[in-house]
Amino acid sequence: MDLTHDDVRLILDLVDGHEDIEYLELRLGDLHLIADRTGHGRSTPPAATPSAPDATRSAPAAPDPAPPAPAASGATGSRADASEASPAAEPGPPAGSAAAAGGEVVTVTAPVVGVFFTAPEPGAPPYVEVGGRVGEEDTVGLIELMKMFNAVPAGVRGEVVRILAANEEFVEFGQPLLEIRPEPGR
Amino acid sequence: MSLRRLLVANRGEIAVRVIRACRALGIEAVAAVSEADKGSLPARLADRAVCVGPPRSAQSYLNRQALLATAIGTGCDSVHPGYGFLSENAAFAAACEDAGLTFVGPRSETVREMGDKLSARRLAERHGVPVVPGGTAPGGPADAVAVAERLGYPVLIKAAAGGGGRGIRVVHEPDELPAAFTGAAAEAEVAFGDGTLYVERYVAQGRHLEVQVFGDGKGEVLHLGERDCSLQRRYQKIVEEAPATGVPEDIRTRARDAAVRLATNIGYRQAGTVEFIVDQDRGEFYFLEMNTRIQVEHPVTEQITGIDLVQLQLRLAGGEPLALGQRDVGFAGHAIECRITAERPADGFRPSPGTITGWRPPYGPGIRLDTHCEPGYRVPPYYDSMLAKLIVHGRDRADATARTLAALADFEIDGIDTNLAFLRAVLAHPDFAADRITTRWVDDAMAKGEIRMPIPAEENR
Repeated sequence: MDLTHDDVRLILDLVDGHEDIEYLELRLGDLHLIADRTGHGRSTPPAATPSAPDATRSAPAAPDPAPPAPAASGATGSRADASEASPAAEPGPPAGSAAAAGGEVVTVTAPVVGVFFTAPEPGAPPYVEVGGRVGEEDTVGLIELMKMFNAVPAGVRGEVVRILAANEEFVEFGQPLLEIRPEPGR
Repeated sequence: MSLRRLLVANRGEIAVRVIRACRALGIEAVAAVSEADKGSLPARLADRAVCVGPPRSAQSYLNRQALLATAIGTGCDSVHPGYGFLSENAAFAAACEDAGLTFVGPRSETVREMGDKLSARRLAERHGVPVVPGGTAPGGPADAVAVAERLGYPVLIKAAAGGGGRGIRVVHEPDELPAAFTGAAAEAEVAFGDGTLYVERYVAQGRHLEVQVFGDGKGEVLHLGERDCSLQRRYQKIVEEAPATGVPEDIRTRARDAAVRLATNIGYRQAGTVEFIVDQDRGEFYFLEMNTRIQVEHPVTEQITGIDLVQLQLRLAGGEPLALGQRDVGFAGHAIECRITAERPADGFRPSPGTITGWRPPYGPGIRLDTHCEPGYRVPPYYDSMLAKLIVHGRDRADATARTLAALADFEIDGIDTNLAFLRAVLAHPDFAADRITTRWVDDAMAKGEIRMPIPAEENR
């Protein structure tokens, strides 16, 4: 049985609508979906092992359905300018995962803070290029956190439409890295 | 060479406090924030805010690697750890040193030595600082009985490796000792992986006295007077004052001398606090621990000395000499700090996160409010419940108390439960006016029903 990206969104919306569901883990063949409202994960070993051998972390196949709302939602009134001046103050997509933006493209965000690398090593061809196609578990980049390299999985199957972070750029947790237009997978 | 850019590795009011001090000195501040704090006041006040991880502290404010990577990645030359979180984590201080970052605090080896209870106690003893009389009981309960006989009952049995109140037993009678010993040893083994116990004299009627010190790391150490933090509940301080008018002058003088001696002998650098328990019945004071960081209650010292401790930290970290001598430190008036928390005192002080719909703080002469809160702020459930520190300065203790009571009466917070009514009741109590507070006072007064509070519905009109 195959799930499309829309199916995944539907499942997550269902979870989102039931506050008493704190954690959901679904295995269907080689698809492994984790929806974790608590944000701290479970001890279950990740099934969707990122393709890079030096990966230290695997992102869940689906976004956290209930990212905590930014503390200042509605609080920024008189401080709107300050809020806009600081990129970090803007509510971003859930971090460490792919998230649908506008229903069409999916934004892949940084699962950890660190230095983003678009290629496995200097001089090597980049993991992905605009127009290229990726599978859900393909690595789209690395983030170095104190000499530990964390593979960033695409999280969704599709076409890379935009690369937002530069090679060797310092990225924060949750920062958008690239956009993928999902394609039906199998 | 002054600091150029500093990573604020903390959140809440202390992050705001550090950022403001940076601004005053022309240092750029980078706020490390968790996902839950992205829109918070410190995130907006800082020159740059970087999200370092998810809301849970373990993945953000306690995540050494993420914080170091952020400091390096944003080009910081220094890190201020605030209090709590990684402020007394020797490994973090060492990692900053290794990465060439100036850690605004003592050397990592000092943090390590003072973080270990037994080594801190040994250091204190070596430098002539009185410690609570006690001893180890390597041979088990029989040894403990012998130590207790020598000390006199009641005694405290505690885990050598301990902290946080675990593995601690108060023993009033010799027959209670063996069972208490066995229980504490088991608890210590589970909690700390080390069942080694320590027996010491139990100070039943104690006052918490602490001395603020500041060292330049080259042997020069000043004291900035002392604070009385006896008003506690379950080892959590609620109200702090400076100076400690309820403690006899000779004890205060000796405690200051002892604190300066200890800090001088270890070449202490930066702000630190030496904590003592004062045994009212015996007229003695004993070393408890040394906190190697800026403390929550540092503002009461600032208010009576006029010295900005955080700016002093940043100046010293930037390589400036300590441009102060002991004779430059003067004391004026009395200051009281109340910790305003999002808790329901009527319900066992249960934390009460939620959205602050109304925030009307008091204003007036002598009133200072250190906070990260504002109307519309959503108090996240992930961190401690402190909302603000109300610090009030008066010409003497009675004046400061009256001003604090007036300020507490004016303070209105809507949308969440707070301890404001509890604080009003405590400060209005005759024992507070009479300066008769011990570390057990809150528990006793509550048990006796002496702290009366309106029901929460009335409080949150």
